[in-house]
Amino acid sequence: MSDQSSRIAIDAHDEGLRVTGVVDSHTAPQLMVAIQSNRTGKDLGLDLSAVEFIDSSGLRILVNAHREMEAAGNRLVLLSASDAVARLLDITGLADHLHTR
Amino acid sequence: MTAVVEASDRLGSRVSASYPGFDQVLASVRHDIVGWCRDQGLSTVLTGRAELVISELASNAIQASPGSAFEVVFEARRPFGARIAVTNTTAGPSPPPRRAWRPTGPLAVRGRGLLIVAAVADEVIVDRARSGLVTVAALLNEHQPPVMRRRTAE
Repeated sequence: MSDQSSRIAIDAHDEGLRVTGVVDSHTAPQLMVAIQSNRTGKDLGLDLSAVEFIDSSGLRILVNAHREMEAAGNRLVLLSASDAVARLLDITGLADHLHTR
Repeated sequence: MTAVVEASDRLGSRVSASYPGFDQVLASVRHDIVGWCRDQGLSTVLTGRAELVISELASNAIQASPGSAFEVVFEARRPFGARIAVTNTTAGPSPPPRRAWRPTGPLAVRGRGLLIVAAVADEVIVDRARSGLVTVAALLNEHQPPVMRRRTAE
């Protein structure tokens, strides 16, 4: 097997969190934990400009976090979506339903 | 994992490989598909589509039968494109009907995997074969005539 593994880095960002790398079903749980750990009762920004690859497993986390924050009266705002993210948001129609900037 | 080159000539090749059914292998599977596409001189655009397709299909195979091996067959035919088949070799849930290849609502949490595959592939077939559940996605080169680039998304 090739010596490969999905890599994700999640760091603090001015408006919340910055995600770097790959969001697939291997790394998505890390993103979920990071979002949940950084919910402070205010809107949360998620800078996605450095996401190189994302699939439906990553979208699942974004949608779930969106729903939970909306239910709590806050917003999850997707910032500067990379081409990979923007492509999937367009394909799935989620660009019309999630908060993006 | 050892990839087996089953056939290769000046017009393309057929490669197969088996992977363990764990999320940790997803990066390797994508890496292998990207390498096979590049080896065949397929375009960057088609390679990106293949990478997304295999990530979805491999994730589905792992989710259907966690821990069980799944097989990937990659076939390239220049200049037409490539075909990717993923076989989940154990008894898992039946494939959803094509009309269910979408989430139940715009903000449903699940249900976008096959929707994405159908959107980026030119043809998708899901079938229960003797060897297991087989999902085949055909990706035609973007330079092929439009009549050959039939989309299957409903």
